[in-house]
Amino acid sequence: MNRKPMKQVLPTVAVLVVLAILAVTLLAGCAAGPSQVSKSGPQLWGENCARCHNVRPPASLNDAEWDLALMHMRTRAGLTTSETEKVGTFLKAAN
Amino acid sequence: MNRFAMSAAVLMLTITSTAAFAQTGVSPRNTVLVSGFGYANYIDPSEGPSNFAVGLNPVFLWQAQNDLFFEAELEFELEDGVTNTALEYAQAWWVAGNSLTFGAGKFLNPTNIFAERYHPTWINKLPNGPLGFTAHGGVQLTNTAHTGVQARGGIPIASGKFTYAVFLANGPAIHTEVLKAGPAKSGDPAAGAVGTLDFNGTEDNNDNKLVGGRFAVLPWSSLEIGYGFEAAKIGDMDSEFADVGTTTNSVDLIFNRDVNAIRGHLDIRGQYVNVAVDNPGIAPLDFDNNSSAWYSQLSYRPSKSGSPLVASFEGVFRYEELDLPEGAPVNADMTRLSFGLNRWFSPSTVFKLAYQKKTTRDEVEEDEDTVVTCQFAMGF
Ligand code: HEC
Repeated sequence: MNRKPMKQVLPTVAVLVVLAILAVTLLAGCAAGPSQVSKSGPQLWGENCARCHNVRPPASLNDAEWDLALMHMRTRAGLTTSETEKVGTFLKAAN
Repeated sequence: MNRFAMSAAVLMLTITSTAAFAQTGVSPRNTVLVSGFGYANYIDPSEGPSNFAVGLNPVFLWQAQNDLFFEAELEFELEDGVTNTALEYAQAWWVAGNSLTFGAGKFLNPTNIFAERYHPTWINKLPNGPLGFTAHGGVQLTNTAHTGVQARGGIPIASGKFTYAVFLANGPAIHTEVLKAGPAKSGDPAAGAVGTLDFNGTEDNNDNKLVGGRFAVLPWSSLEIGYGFEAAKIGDMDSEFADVGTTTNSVDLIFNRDVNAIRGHLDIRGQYVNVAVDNPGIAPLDFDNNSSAWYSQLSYRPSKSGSPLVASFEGVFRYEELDLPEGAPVNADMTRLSFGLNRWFSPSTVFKLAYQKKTTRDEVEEDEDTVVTCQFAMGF
């Protein structure tokens, strides 16, 4: 398995740099602000549901539809069960 | 990894199905939601004929229990007088815990963030996807979807979040003959070139399973930084290329938030991917097979301008590069610049106008072509 060394070095360096940034931002960022687990439904909705696409207004789906859409979204968005439930309670109260 | 991977996969499926059977007695909820998206394009390239095109991607969501869920997306596309259909994804989910869900089936590749997050036309801010990350145009370096099993979740850490997704899948094969699998749907012959990965097969060509994962941190909700990897054997079993493996590494960055100073919403996203394929020293794969692609996209919407009309517009800029191995039979590198102007009619209804300039370079020549695309897209 003979590989050209230069082409291999660049990606490795890139990956290492990003890993270092990851570690630093994690430490710096996580220290500030309210803890993730204490966040409310509306706050979690505001923080998570506009990351990938425009926010759909709560009135756009009924309660049963929100349950399905949130099951679909929790895995994409990396939400925990309790976060998903909080967002669901908020959306179903506001629709 | 072989045997372990297989046993883990089987175990996971068994647990999932056992959980399903254990609960079939109770059915508190049994609902279906049909969502998805549709679009109509008008594409006018500087070379070749202009064209109208259309597509419909219905998404079906079905929940059997609180913790059991099924999602699927179909794709219907008109091409050359026929309607192409594809099963984009079809996956069963089991919520095993607060930070752990198991999925089995065909799923969008967690390490290709364009595929997993931005491919729907009502989400993508340009009419097409970046080179290298989709099957359309050039050589695709990272797969759109995998068939296999995955485990994923999010773990709160202080005020931020750590997310993970790990998976086992059939994985790609390698093209060892000219156009072994025929050109991909882009119609671009480069897509089937010797030494490139073949993502079209849904069945594995060997006993080895692809292992992959993506790990990300969100120190603030507006910033996400991720790292992804995939490793697999890609040669046909019992062939002289049986031991040829590939490793993919990728990094992605997503930043988006309202910025008062510029009275609007700023969205920056990008990903870099590198694919290294072993050199077995046997023709036709005896070259340094190392490819990479990256893109970065910046968009701005004056959502806080005070005028609803002004706020309904959005400007987009994207730059992409696709670098193919010098020794490969198809090795032209590509860069593409895109400018887009979007008019939003609702959160998921948009009219896009885009101008894209692509430059293709190999040892002998440089070629430039431009394309103007209009797209009307709707998510439902
Ligand atoms: C990681 C990216 C991402 C995040 C974060 C995200 N979504 Fe989505 N969302 C998507 C994608 C991708 C689709 C389109 C699914 C498809 O067509 O395959 C979608 C579709 C939807 C739809 C249409 C119905 C459906 O399920 O297909 C709704 C409603 C929705 N999202 C609501 C939300 C809500 C509420 C949140 C916050 C909890 C959220 N999204 C967070 C990526 C995301």
